[in-house]
This record gives sequence, structure tokens and C-alpha cells, in this order.
Amino acid sequence: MIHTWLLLLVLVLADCAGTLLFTRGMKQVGEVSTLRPQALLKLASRAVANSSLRLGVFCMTIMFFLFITLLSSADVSFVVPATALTEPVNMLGTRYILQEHVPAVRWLSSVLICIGIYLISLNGV
Amino acid sequence: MKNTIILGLLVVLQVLGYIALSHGLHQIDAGNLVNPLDMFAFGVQVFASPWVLLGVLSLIVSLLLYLVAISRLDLSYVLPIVASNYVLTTLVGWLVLDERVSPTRWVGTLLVTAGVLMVGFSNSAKNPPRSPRPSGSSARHKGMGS
Repeated sequence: MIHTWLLLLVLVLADCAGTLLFTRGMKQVGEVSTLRPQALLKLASRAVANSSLRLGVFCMTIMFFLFITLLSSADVSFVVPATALTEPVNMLGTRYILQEHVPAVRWLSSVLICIGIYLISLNGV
Repeated sequence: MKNTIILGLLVVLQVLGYIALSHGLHQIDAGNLVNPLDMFAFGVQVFASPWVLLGVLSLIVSLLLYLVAISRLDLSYVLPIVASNYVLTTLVGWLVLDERVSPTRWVGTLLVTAGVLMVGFSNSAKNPPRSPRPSGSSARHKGMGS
């Protein structure tokens, strides 16, 4: 049980870090504004060279393998809804790390998700 | 009509992906995953399993369909359909994989779905469509762990 929660926590943190790094990396690389092969190739080479994107891919890979590990030992009816824990963690990161304003509706939704995940876990994982 | 097909396929493939992955992974002996040799053996079995490959393929196609959907439709229209995957995955897990789903778990799943919908709608209200034609805004694909 503790093992499952630990895996879930690392999965959620890797997912959040991956999303953050992807967002930062794509902002540095620039917008995909054309579909010309030459321009796309240039964009792809900039993306491969970008350290944020590389780290983002690493985090997402960890997330994927943890998801597989979790699914191998726990019910799909627990694992899939439980991954929604990324929303409250993202919200906390936005509020306390990025110091951005978080509207009341996001606090409320995070509380709902946390209660939901708690109830899901009562069934046994 | 085309949009309905895209959204329908998106949900079906997403749920199929999760169910196939779960079914395939439960057939594999995970052993002691702290031991590197066991971990390697587990990895080889995972990627040799047709169910796991079917699951991964379904999830990749559903991600592509999601991107197509949000480029054609308003997010507030796509999101409720995508968020339904929590309930549908639980339903199919219960019916097909014979998972034990208590009433408490059903309530929890519905609460999670409601919470995710609220997050999506609050993001959608913050970033309204940019053109009169229904168009998408950014949102996480509620796929693998997300």
C-alpha cells in the first residue's frame, strides 16, 4: 500500500516536472508557425539541443515507466483516476513556486480531486 | 458528424488503451522490482506483450485524436467527453477485468471527474477561443497519468 502511494507520488511529481519543463522548453524553442519541412527541421534541431526539453522527456519517460509499474500491481480503476492528483500538485506549484494567483474554483476542484482519490483508495488498491 | 466520430474514437481508444495495458501487465510476473535483473526481465516481458503494445498504440492514437479534436472544437466541448474516461475506465475495468469496485470507489471516481472538469472549465474561461470558429486552447490530455 505504501509502495503504491510512493510510486504514485513520484509519478505525479515526474508528470508535473515534465509538463513544466516542456512548457519552458517550447517557449525557448519557439512557436510552430509553419509546416515547411526546412523550417520544421530547424525547429526540431533546436528542440533536441534544448536542455529543458531533454529533461522534460526524461521526466515523462520516468512517468510512463512508473505508470506501467503501478498498473502491473494495482487496479486500473484506482490508477487512472488517481493520476488526477497531478492537478492539485500543479495548483500548489503554481501558487507557491510560481507565486501566481490561483482562483477559488481551482482550490475547490483540488479539494474535490483529493477527496475523490481518498475515497477510491478505500476500496483497496 | 466527423467531429462526433473523432470524439467517440478518442474515448474508445483511451479506455481500450488503459484496459489493454492493465490486462497485459497483470499477466506478467513483476517479481522483485528492486532487483535490477528482475527489472530487466520485467521490461522485456512488458514490451513483448501484445496487450501492452496494443495499449500503448491505442493511447498514442488517442493522443493524436485529442490534438485533432482541440484544434477543431472548443475545449469546453471536448473536455467533458475526455474527462469521462475516468468513469468509463472504471466501468470497463469492473465489467471486463472483473475488478471489485465498491460504491465508495464509484463516488470517488465521480468526484475526481467533477474536479478535473472544474479545472478544465476554469482554464477554458481564462483562455477563451481566439476565433469565432470553435477552436481549442491548451489543456493536458487526460491520458497516461495525465
